[in-house]
Amino acid sequence: MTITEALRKLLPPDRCLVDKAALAAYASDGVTAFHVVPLAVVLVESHQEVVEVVSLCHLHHVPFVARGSGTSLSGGSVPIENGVVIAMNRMNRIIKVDLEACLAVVEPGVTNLSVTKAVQPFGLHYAPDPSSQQVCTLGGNVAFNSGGAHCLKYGMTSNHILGMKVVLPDGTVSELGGPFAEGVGPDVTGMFCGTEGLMGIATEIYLRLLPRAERYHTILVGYQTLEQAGDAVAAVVESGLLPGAMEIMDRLAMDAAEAAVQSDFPAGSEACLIVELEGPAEQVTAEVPKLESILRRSDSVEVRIAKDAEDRMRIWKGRKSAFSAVGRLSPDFIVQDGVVPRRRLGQALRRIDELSKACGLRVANVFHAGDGNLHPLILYDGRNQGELERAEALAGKILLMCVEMGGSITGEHGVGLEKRDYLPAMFDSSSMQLMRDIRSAVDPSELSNQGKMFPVTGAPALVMRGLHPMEKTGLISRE
Amino acid sequence: MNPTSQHELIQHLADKVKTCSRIAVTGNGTKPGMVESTTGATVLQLNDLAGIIEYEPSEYTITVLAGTKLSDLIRQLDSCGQYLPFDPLLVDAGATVGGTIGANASGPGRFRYGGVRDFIIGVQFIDGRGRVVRGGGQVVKNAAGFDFPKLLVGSAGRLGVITEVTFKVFPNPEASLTASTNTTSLLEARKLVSQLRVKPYDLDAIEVDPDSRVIIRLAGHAEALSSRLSRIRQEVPGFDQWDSEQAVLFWQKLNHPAPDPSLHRIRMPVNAETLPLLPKIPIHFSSAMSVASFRIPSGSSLDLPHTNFDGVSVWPKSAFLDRLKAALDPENKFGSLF
Repeated sequence: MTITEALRKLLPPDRCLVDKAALAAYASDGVTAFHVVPLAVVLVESHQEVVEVVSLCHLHHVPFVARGSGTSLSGGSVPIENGVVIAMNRMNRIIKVDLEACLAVVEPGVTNLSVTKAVQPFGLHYAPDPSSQQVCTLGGNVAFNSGGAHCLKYGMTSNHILGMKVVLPDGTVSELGGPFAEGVGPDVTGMFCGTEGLMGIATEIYLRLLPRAERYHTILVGYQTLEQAGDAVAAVVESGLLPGAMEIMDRLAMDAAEAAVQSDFPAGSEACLIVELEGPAEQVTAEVPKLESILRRSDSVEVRIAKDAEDRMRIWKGRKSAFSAVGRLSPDFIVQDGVVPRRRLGQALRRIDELSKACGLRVANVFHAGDGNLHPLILYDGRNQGELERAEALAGKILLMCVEMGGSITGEHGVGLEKRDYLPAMFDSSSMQLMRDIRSAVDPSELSNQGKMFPVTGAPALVMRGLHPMEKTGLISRE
Repeated sequence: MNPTSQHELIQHLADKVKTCSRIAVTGNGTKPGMVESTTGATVLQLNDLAGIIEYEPSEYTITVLAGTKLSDLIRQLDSCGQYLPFDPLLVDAGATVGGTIGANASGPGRFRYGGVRDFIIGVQFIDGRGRVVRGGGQVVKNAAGFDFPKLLVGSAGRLGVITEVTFKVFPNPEASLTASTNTTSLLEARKLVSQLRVKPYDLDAIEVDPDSRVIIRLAGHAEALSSRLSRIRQEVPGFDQWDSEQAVLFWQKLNHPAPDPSLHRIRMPVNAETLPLLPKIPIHFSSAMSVASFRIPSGSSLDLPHTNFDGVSVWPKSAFLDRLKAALDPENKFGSLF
């Protein structure tokens, strides 16, 4: 019996897709340039089905990848040639909300924002907020240790995952952590997060919930240069304030966002900074004068304070739409996700500007300034001969610059297919070897999300396909 | 410690791991139960591997060698107005960075921003093959490679020898305030804690002592503290503010459970289901009743997963962990998992 026959025996035909047209929908994720049509797609509905499908793949020696909404920005959920895609979206139940312990138990197909929506009536929220939170799933968030705009204060996905039930790549079930605020023994839950699907599939996830802040105070500041905006961030940090978010956009990104959502970014400025304080009303009230005096001293062109919740949402909408908006400026773009130490932001931006000019491609900058996480958007036109290759080369140079400055090749998107050749730039050969040893110990046949994270020869061909359909509608964005 | 001797010392330790069949790692011995047994093992004393390698207050990061005493680290952070938000234990007793990570020893302050796992962002360690390896990095946000920093939290030296650690740190709150209220039973205390923890009060700590007294700590802007407490009182009457001397003593004592030869110090995560299974002895509950701390007579045992600072811990079994152990320490040099 072939794997397809075995899968068709296990699942009804409408949950085991083998038809070319049906499979095509799964060929790409958020990095549309990668395109691989899988052998089959199975739509699982329970933990037990995941166990059975994974066991079959193991038995038949067929590689597989679990996929949620396919919003990965590193090509992490791109199918494997002749492999199986295990679509997790139907496992979308919030199993339990425990208000006493402030935790939720969810299936991996639950979308990020729906957790917050479910617990909002109780004054709680799930803190990690990747920009695609309307559609991205918790399973994918766990696999890639997703971030968002609030990581300096609240950490990344792994800081909010208390435990998991996982199916290892040979079908063995393992419980990690559990419904407890703290683990006992090695933090295997933390280790599993961010392993990009190489260690198997989480089928049940325990999330930490936090009280929502009582008050937000959001300020939008315009500057004549990016460097001044960067200096302002340094001054805020030095003052001992701990804002929930600090974001910077350059002129190109502001123009794009402005055209899309009219956020009233400061006119006549080359950069803008968004700073947001949050906390109990009395605490925020006490911190506001301190923050405002820092910002007024910071050579700003304009300081605008959000008047109300609606005004705040408009500022954030402008920020979060910047990426899909940039799509209007250029037929294609690559977004990078490097991290540099915060004090080197100015230096990094100058270098990106030089590199951009040298290769003749425009770069828009939007970044999480509070944690040094850059998102340079490299604009190009795939129809012009050689431009994609030049854009990729520029992206690579930016990544290596981040490593040289003591940072990271990825802050929140993960390594996936896109950056796998650059992981050895960050880790020496012993560390790379240990990671490979662990991969072999957990998955000796290397079936689970084969080809991701570690460099291998032979990558899927890059084909220009333009924006992701969900991106065109503004549902997801590459930040 | 200068870079050359530091490099040489780490290389020396790695050679020991390569050539010896059993390795036991110790620091200042404040949690002796973490070491399986030193009989027949080569003991690696990490106290000499001490010092701050890089401290960048503007980055909110500090990199230190594993044998560094927490007290030295904290003094350095404090001089720049920063702190370790996970609120480490046994600082004055001489606990080291490596031991604190190995024992996953967070204090009451873990309630606000998280425990050891949430503030360790980079690590260098020696694996069971004697390789000096790294995981994580020195920046606060990073998703590249496997998260070895977290894996080593709570590992009690069984997966590798931690040699260097990078922490994320935060600005010190300007001031803090402690208040408490008495309740008549653990059940009543539980109700109060559940009520408090979902509110946007931004509490720094919520503790319940063995007399079911609920103690809260607020931290932040000095001028806002008393009005923050007044509002809590409006919604939950009965909280009395402590004078600062009383508060300092209380928190200090809580973070320094002194050893006692006849008793073992136990730390056990709990929830509503496991609360009834705890022994009927005086128990202090930390971090909104999510962690129980108590002492049991040496020689007695407990079935539920827990950390024992003075004796044999009980770890949950996990097929995933077994495979990780096989890759990290194939010859079982660092001792078996609890």
